[in-house]
Amino acid sequence: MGILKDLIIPHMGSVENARLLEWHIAEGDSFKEGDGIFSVETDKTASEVEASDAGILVRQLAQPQDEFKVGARIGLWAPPATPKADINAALAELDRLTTPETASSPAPSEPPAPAPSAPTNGAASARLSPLVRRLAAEHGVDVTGLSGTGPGGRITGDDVLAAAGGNTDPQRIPHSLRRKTIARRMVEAAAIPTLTADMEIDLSALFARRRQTGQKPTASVLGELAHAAIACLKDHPALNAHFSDDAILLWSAVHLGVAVDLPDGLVVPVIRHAERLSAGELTQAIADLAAKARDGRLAPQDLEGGTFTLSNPGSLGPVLRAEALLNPPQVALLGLAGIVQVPKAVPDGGGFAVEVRPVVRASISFDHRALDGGPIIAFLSAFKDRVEAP
Amino acid sequence: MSHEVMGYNAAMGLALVEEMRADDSIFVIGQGVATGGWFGAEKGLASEFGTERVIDCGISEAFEAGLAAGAAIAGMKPVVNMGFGDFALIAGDEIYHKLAKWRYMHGLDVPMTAVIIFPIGTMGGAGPEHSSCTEVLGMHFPGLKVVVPSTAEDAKGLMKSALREPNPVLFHSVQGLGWTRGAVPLDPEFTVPIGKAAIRRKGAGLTIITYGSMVSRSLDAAELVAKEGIDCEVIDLRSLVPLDWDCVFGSVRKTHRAMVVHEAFLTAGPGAEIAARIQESIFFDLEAPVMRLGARDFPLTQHADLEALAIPSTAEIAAVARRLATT
Repeated sequence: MGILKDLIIPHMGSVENARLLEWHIAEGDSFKEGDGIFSVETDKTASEVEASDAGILVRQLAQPQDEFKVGARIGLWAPPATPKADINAALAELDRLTTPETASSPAPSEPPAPAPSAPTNGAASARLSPLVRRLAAEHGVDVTGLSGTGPGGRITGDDVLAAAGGNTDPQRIPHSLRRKTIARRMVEAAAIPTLTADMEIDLSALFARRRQTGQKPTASVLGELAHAAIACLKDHPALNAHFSDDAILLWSAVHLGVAVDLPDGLVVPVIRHAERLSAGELTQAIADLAAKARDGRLAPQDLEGGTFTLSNPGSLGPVLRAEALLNPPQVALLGLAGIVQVPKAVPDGGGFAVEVRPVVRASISFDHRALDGGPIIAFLSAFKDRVEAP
Repeated sequence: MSHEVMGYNAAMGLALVEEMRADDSIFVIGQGVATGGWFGAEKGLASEFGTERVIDCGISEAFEAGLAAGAAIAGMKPVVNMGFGDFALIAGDEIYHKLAKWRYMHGLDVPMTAVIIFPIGTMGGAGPEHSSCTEVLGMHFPGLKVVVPSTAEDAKGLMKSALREPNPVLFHSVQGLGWTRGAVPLDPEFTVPIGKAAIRRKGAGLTIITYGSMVSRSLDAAELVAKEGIDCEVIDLRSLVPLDWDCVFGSVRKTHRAMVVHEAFLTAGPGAEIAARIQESIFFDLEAPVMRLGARDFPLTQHADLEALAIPSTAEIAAVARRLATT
């Protein structure tokens, strides 16, 4: 049926209604581009409508003196040299689809009202389904010029989407399994009463220590900060814990989750027994896990059993704050913002002087069901003291 | 999980046995239940649990339902087999006013577990007074849950859920399916949640929303029209209250075409509500009007051959599917 195209009353300025005066081409005859096909009369004038392409007039769907709105279909045409057999087949298919069923009609539910579809002389827009109207509006598609592939030549939602072409807006991206998992876990995490406390940590002493060794340090700054945080967890075990319905589970081992940003979503692989690793070994372990994650080589067990999570959005850009949703059942998460040089008031004799210092803002996001603010501030203070110690 | 192939009514009976063993507050009452019960669902119950918990009752459905309402609000868990869905109207005041409303009238703090079994539908000439599909009454009066299993597995699983549910449940067993067999999980913790539909056939072209006796016919019709290129998705609602709108809307958003098929009468039947909700909620996802197919609107005939002409056949479902696909 795709070979049959609609012949419509064209738009003519502000004219809305038109009356067919006369056909100039008989059914079955060919026409060239520019040939007059029919004449119409409007409230302003009478005019001849010329063919915009060459073709064959397959069927006249209207009689002289019939009245239409502009855009209405009044005939069917086919491209030039379309074989007669193809045209007949398309017409037969059209007729089959538009003739109401008779024989085996089930009837009980059939409302007496509208017969399925009859593309007679009515305006095409009168048969637009709700779906087509919505999609046409969403994609800004003018359906009057569309030829339908649906029942009876009706325009379908797919026709509108096809006409919208590559400009479909919005583009639809089905959820990956990972995105679905993230969505589910985030909704769970958002249900937890979570607060975040921040502390600014001066890294000058740490940088000085790294320079002192005189050789390239084996540990990254992140590895050193992770190592310091894990050491502090020993004295503040309430942060290295799981929350269950009837108890809090304190872990002596630190299985450290490390958030890794991937193009198709965040993953948090786990370093087992991170408390046994030096800063250099932690640096290596974090690099290994991140590489595994990027290569898609993480095993399910690499993602399980974390007791505390480290998130380092500062490595991606100069974020000011690293607040995060929790990774339940874990009760706390350490976030590190970007390292920035800031003017800082530092003790100078009896007063203060302003110096430019490298600082990082460390944040603990915590489950307020399991923990109150006190132990969080205590942990952050201990962490700060440890990192800033000369 | 191990399974056993058994009949639909026997699967209901298995759920009763398992739950009665676990919960002393459950008892069964109905006409003849102590002597095998209606269509075999209660077979053997009295010999295990005695006639104190499996109580034969005289012919008074109003009394049975009233007793159930009183027992339920007092903390017992009554199961009444009404014998036929038609008798809902005899027991109507007790079911639709008392059982449905008392929890709400008393602040919802009191659970009212009660299961009213209504065998519904045609079974080859039981006549106009013993074949009615009365499930729409339970949809109309708020306060009740309404289920209609279409398989032996669901018959067991929904009965288990009904017996653990704090609201009264109208459990419509399909008479025509009573002796059909299917694999049933033997795990005593197996349940089918009330309010969850099942997609029995995946398809992209149109959605057939159905339940009970019309599920297997709809599946047969879907196979018929599949040969003509019409790809039907078939949803078995299983529960009418609450109804799984997420499942229905999700499917219709995908196929853009929907029809409802049930054995209940067409006019003001469950399909009227379902079609109305679809167009109210997702009108701009529809390519075509929502169609309905139900029993013809006249008192059912007694003769089995005429009865078959009164309710939707596989061929009729296929014809409506064709019409929907080309509208």
